[in-house]
Amino acid sequence: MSDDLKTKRILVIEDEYFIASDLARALVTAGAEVVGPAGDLATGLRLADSEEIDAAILDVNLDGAMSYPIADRLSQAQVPHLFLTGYDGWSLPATYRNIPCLPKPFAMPRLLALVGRLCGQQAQA
Amino acid sequence: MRLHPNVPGVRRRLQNGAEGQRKEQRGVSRIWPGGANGMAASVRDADWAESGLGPVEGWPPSLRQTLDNLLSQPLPAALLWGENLLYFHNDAYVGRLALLHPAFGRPLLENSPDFPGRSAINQVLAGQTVIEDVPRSVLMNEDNPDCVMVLSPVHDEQGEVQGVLLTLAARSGEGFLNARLPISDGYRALFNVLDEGFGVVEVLFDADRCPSDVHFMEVNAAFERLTGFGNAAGRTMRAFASDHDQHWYEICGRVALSRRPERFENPDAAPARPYDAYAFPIGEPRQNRVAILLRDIMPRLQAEAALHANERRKTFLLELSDSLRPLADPQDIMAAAGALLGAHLGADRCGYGEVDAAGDHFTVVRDWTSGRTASARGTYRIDDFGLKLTADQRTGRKLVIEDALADPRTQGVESAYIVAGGLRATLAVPLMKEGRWIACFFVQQGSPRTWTAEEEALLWDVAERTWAAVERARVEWALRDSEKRLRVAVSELQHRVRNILTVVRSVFARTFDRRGDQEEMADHFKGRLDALARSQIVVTQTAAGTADLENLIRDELMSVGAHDGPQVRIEGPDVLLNSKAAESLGLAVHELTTNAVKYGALRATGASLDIFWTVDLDQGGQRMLTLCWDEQGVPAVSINPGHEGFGRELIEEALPYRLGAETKLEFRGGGIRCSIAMPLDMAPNRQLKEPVDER
Repeated sequence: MSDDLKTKRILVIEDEYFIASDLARALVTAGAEVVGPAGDLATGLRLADSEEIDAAILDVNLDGAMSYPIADRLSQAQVPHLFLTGYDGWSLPATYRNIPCLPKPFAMPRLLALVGRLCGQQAQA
Repeated sequence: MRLHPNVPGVRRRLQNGAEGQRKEQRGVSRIWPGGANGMAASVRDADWAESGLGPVEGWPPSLRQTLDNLLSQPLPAALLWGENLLYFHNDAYVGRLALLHPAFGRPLLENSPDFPGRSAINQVLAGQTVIEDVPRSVLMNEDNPDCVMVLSPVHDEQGEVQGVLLTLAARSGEGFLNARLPISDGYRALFNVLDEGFGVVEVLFDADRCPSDVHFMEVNAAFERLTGFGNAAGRTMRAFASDHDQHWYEICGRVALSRRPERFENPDAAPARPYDAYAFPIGEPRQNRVAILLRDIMPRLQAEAALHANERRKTFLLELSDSLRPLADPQDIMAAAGALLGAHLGADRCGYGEVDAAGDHFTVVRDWTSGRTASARGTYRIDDFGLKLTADQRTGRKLVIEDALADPRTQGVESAYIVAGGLRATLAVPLMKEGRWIACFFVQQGSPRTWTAEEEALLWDVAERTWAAVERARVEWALRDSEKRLRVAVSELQHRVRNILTVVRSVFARTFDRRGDQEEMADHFKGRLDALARSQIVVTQTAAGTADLENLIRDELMSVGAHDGPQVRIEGPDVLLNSKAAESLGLAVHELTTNAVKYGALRATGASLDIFWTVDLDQGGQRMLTLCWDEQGVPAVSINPGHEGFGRELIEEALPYRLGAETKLEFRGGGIRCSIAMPLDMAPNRQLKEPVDER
């Protein structure tokens, strides 16, 4: 595993406790700092606005509410992010089709690699 | 005689003015009166010095004009002129009546005591026209017994009655004396059954050779029907005193003079029936006779009109179909159909309305108006419009009102019509489907209107097509809606399946996270998987996707063979949990149950388990569920934190995060006590406590 994630601040938005907690543990193990996790839209928006973030992992469906507004804020702030989703790609609105998307269930190493790449891009930019 | 400004001679006179008129009089006076007939010669040749009239050059123009007409007239006629009623007659008059007559130009009363019109003369001199029967006894010709004498006043230049014009005429259309053409009975029968009108006329010219009248010599029944000149034979056209004669005089005059046939169509402004005509000269040129063939063109015009109407109807229906086809919204279809037909018929309001299933109310969602009236949008009680009127609609018959204010059927229900816009005329057709009145297409007018059969037929067509289009759109709408819902449902299912798989994966990882007995861990995992499955099953058994808390708990206990009795008590009000709460609480109850079976109240003899819950309103008015798991009488055991890690995390971390619950898990002497307090209607997600991002 590369060092891409070391000291990076990663926002985690996921409403399912076990997934959120697994993500947080894996990120901490990889040397990152976790912002959140949060499972609802309001908290997610607040964190996206107020915290310093290098990259974000967003579950698309937060207990029925879509996390798109958080993605919009992050895009504005040029914070790279990815979606976790139980949906197929076609159900994403066209605006968000360019955002990396990892279908559930996912393998943790793959997710960490993807988040690492996002942070790397951010560093280059 | 009337003056016609477009008669060439008259026009010339008007243009030349007074001087021209004098010149003409002088020019004419040398030979006046013209013409070759005997009586004209008598006037010319007589010495008028003793008559009181003086030489003809000095005669008033009114006398000369009247004599001109008289002398050229083919009907037997005479003139009585001046105070002494000087007597003039034309050639045709000679020998008509078996009476003693005065000499030509002599006073009437001189030698004619038995004159039949004598008693009427004073009336005529007072300005009246009188028709007198001519006694059969004085007629010379027994073939024409039904003869009358027409006595009419002749005015001088000052408008005073100066003379009496006397004309012998046939009373009936059977003709008069020799004026009729000799036709055999066989031909006459044929003549009268012809569809074509046929007539022979003699054109009468004035002194200027201008056609002044047309004398019908012979006409058939069709001719009379087409022209509207009843009993025309033997009469002149002026007898019918219509303003549209001038065409006839001109055309017939032209044909008589030129001897060339002419075709013309419908010269009359208001003929009885429309016709086209062919006029051609017959007889000797000097007879000025013209034959006229008339063909009824009403059937042709009607056929043309019908063809045109049919064409218009087809074009309109095509336009309607084209306009409705792309529309997907039933309301758009109703509005478009109303607008197209309303404009097409020049109506004031037009639309499509639907009848409710009970047949009590009629609803118009969108209609069309000309702008002169209000919209009929709204729902109406059908019976408010009067039972007499709505009974027809209910049984599938059209409703026709030409004027609601004059129609006896609308009496007593006028207010409903005022509410509905106060429109005077209505044409409405009902649509019946499977014996039920389901809709109605209506067209209305602010003023009284007579609806034609074509308009009615069109309305039926449009109504049927609109209904079909509306139903088509509704079916498509429902199909699209159901497809959309199915897509959403499939999408949600996919989301849930993948989420639960991710959860299962996580639960699996946590179960096998630590060293220990593989078999025991596998049992744990299977138990948790079963608990997840049970909550899924319970949730999917109800349409609302909810689970009953008590059932959830009993199912869990039953899975380990426990049920309520003296040892286990379960008590609480009915509570429905949503799928999220059911899943999380189900797992928590499973963990507590597993623990109780292994180490607690469900294992130890003499121990007991109380599971109870309440629902209360919190300060914010939210329903809060408080669930307690209370074990008592369990001997103290050392708890293996390795095994209890998952359950503890679930209760202390996952429930607060997932359900916004406040939880407390206590390991006391006598057993575990757990309390879970959570909002029932809204479960705000919380931030995880761990790992904590302390800043």
